[in-house]
Amino acid sequence: MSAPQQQPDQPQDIECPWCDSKNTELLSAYGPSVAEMQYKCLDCGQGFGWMKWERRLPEA
Amino acid sequence: MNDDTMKAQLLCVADSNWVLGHWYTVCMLNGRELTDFTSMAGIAEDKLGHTRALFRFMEEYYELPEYQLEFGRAVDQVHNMELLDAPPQGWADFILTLYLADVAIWQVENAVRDTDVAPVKNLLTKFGEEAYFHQLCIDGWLKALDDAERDDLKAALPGRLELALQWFDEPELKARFSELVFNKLAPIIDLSDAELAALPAGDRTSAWDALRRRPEGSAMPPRLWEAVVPTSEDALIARRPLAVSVDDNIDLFVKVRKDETEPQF
Amino acid sequence: MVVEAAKVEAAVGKVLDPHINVPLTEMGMLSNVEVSDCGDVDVSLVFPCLGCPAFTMLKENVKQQVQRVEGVDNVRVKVDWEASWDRSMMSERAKEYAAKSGYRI
Repeated sequence: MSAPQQQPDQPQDIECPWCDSKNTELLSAYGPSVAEMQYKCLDCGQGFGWMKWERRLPEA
Repeated sequence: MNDDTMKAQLLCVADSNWVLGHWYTVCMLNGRELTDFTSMAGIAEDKLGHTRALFRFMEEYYELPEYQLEFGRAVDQVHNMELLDAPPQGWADFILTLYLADVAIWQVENAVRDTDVAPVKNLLTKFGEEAYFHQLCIDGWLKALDDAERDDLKAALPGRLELALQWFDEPELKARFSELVFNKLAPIIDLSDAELAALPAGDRTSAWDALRRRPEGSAMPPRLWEAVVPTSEDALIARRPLAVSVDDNIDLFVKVRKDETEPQF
Repeated sequence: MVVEAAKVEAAVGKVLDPHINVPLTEMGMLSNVEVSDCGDVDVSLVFPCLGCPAFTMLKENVKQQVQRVEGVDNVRVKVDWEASWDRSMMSERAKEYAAKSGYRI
């Protein structure tokens, strides 16, 4: 079967809470709590947690 | 959907998530890096949280005694999917089984969401929002398999797929499930047409318990059940102060009818 | 003695969310307060994560705080199964506080 592989969308434009830059990168899908994903800011270099709920559902 | 059907569907979802949560906790330390460990710990917490939320909700909604769904059922009253009975045979089989279980459970949860019972609709939607991130992780693990692991996954596929397909009572859900799985896996393991045609169709071979979605009279193996509800003395002490034992079997579906020979007063 | 719902709400506000460290009321986790004439209080909570490890602890803490409100006899803390938590239910103050602790909501 040659259907293109569907990828769930990764959340986009996550803003750094320290410097408000959107130039950030995902480090880990889970952090110290299940509610947050771990990001790193590529401008100020700080790590932060992003509360992940966006009401997206898996493909059905 | 009648009440018993919904009750059985909710139990199938709750109990399958229950066992799936324990797959993550037991296998967690087989991860390859820190993000694997945190993700598996997080997903385990979510899956067991889904089970807990449904158990607590069902206690209220069906007026069941507290904590009996956890501790008051015998293993053959648990509605867990057969797919998760046999332990993972390696990393590829582990990831494949997590993937199949997650997608299958969401298919059923999504279908049960179509109900007028507002809390059920709400709870199952929330499960989906959390499962979205579980599937995001599993996608990453599938993508990161090396060549040898892809071969292992291909070898494990027929057996696991057969059990996953058998779980579905609804032909349309089963068809959609196959479609999702093939779209996802075909590019990863490069299935030829002949191999695709040889994959199992998930036909049932033994008498089927429609409420539990398992072969009649079957149950998960004792060692898995012991991981889910430990019966060691330490575990029993840890469960205090819950005044429950594992011996009070409640029957959720057989309605008690008044025996006509019972003396009348 | 009639229990004032506002006092019950204030009591729930004394319990902090252990993750972000802001009051449950600012987190938007208090979904409903019902007060009866005879001092029975029903508090309904909504949880951001269903797997919340602080589930029992938070319910107990809320119960303890509400029990101290004048005129309260019986407290029942329930989960509101029909409500669903959303980041929009958090107060701006709580979001700012979270940002200062390194959480983007």
